[in-house]
Amino acid sequence: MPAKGDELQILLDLFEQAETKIKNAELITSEGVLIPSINELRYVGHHIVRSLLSDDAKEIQAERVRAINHVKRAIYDIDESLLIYYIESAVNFKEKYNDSGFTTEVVTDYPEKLAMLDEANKSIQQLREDNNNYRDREQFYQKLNPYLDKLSKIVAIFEQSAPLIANKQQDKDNKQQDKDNQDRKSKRRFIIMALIGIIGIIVALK
Amino acid sequence: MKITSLFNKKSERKLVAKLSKGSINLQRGRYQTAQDITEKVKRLKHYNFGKKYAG
Repeated sequence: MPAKGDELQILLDLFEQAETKIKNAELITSEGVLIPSINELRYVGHHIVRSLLSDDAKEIQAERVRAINHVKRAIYDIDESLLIYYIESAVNFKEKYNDSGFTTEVVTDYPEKLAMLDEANKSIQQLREDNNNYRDREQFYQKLNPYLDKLSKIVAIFEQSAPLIANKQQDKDNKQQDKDNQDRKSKRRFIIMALIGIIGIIVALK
Repeated sequence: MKITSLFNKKSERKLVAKLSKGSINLQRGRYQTAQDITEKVKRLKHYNFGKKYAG
């Protein structure tokens, strides 16, 4: 069991981690602040004040542990929301460019990246399926962290690749359009020549 | 101590001042609730990234 001072240091470290994550997530997603995380940090303050008012050493420690657990939940919630943002961005990319033959050409290891996205999505879903686990999610506060870095890189690659794929698709469509126009012109020329030939034969027969 | 003194940026102080007077409401999209996140998770529940991609 950590000493009293250690608990406060742990709390401070986690609190600073949570605050940075909340700010980062807000900037990255542009979807505004995440209320559940802010609420968890509010509960931290409540438990710390209770620990300051208590004379009972056991109660002081219990309140500090409760405060630590709330910060860990704040971290889990913010990581989860950021992962969801990355996954949703990846869904948008896949829905838009999945059928383009250029996607696998432009995005290296595209299937592996999709597999990683599935893994991260399942990780979130599994924890939420078990109500007890989700309520006590402080024990998993580090679980989503490894996915964040990987998914942020994948989404960054998707964002960079999207205009390249779109350009290649546009080039292909333009070439197809040129070919279609060429074919149409050839057909029109053939029909005109045939008509002239037929008219020539009719005139010659008269 | 005024609540606005807790905020450093001018824009933050302005927002808090407005909110504390009740003169504006937070607009949709400026914050995310637990329910917003739950709905997003539900929407992604059956999404399969591995399902069919052009090879």
